[in-house]
Amino acid sequence: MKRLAWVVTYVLVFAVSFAAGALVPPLLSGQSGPFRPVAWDDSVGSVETDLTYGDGPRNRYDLYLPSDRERGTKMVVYLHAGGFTSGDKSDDEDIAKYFTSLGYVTATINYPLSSDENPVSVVDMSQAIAEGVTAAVSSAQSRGYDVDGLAMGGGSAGGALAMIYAYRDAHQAPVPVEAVIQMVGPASFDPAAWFGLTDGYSSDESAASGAEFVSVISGAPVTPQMMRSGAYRDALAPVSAIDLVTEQAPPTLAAYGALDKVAPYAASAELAPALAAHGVPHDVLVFPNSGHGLNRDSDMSDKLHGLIEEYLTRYVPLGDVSASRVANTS
Amino acid sequence: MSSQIGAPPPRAAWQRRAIIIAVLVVTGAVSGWITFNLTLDALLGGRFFS
Repeated sequence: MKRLAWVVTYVLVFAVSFAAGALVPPLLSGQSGPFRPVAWDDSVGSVETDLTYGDGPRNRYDLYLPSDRERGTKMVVYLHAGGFTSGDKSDDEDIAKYFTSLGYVTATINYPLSSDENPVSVVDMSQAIAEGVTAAVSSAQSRGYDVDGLAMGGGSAGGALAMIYAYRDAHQAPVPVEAVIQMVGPASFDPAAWFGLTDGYSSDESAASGAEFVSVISGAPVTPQMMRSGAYRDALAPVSAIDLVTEQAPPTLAAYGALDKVAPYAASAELAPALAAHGVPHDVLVFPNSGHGLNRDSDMSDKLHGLIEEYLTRYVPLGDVSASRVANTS
Repeated sequence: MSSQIGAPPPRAAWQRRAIIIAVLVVTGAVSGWITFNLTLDALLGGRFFS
């Protein structure tokens, strides 16, 4: 009996050590991520959850309102990750609180997700987000925040959707889109870059799998023949950031992991050249040792943190009420 | 008797258990770190956001 007790003890010791070895490093690295933790209380801001912008079950958004109402003249919209099939606005609660602690009204918006039972294309999602942004800005304004500009942000799928809105739909935004700040958002969905296909879709297998991928993303029926002729690019154009960039695109800060296997960096490698070709101010950071989590390059993470605040200060400046008050009284 | 001359004294039971636990702590922590940071992260491409 005593021997059995020791065996159980040994097993528990190993299990606890295993868990500590697995979880402690990422928890520690989380302290140096690009979005710093915030001590949140009423002095920082307040949150209103599950506001609606449509009839669908996913047409919801959360609004994070900074306590300084007069300074909160800009909004950050942050779109969640999840591969277009999962995720929730609440996943980015800490990120939203970080932006709000800087003085920004922040909106995290849910959008329709794709499933086997209910296929939803990226085009459909982007249209929902356009409605959500309009509703979020209107809500903030109705609560006394004189929002006159916004930054689009997001991670992964949310990063792609943030770029699509900023580059394609900004003309219909209720206030100017002044910057994009996104992490690991795919800038294109060309299967050749995503899956490393180099045969020009000459094989039946690559043409069929490429056509299926493009059909799911675009919502348009794409055939293997369209893959071979190149006609599939027309279906992808409305959701490929690199094709949507124009001279009017807002300054863009992006970060990618060179070792990303979820959304391969190869699919987004043309983003920086596209932004440069159109004269759009940009910084595209590539974390050399990181995958989709951008969690293997603490020096790059610190650099990204600095650039986030630099972009917000430079391109999405908050109203400086105290300065204007001084000017008015002098 | 002569065969035991110069041999180290046998370890006490608590010493053996302490060594076993120390080995388990080290191997557990190392294997946990490898499993999470290398295997899973490689498979999932760094799915976990920091």
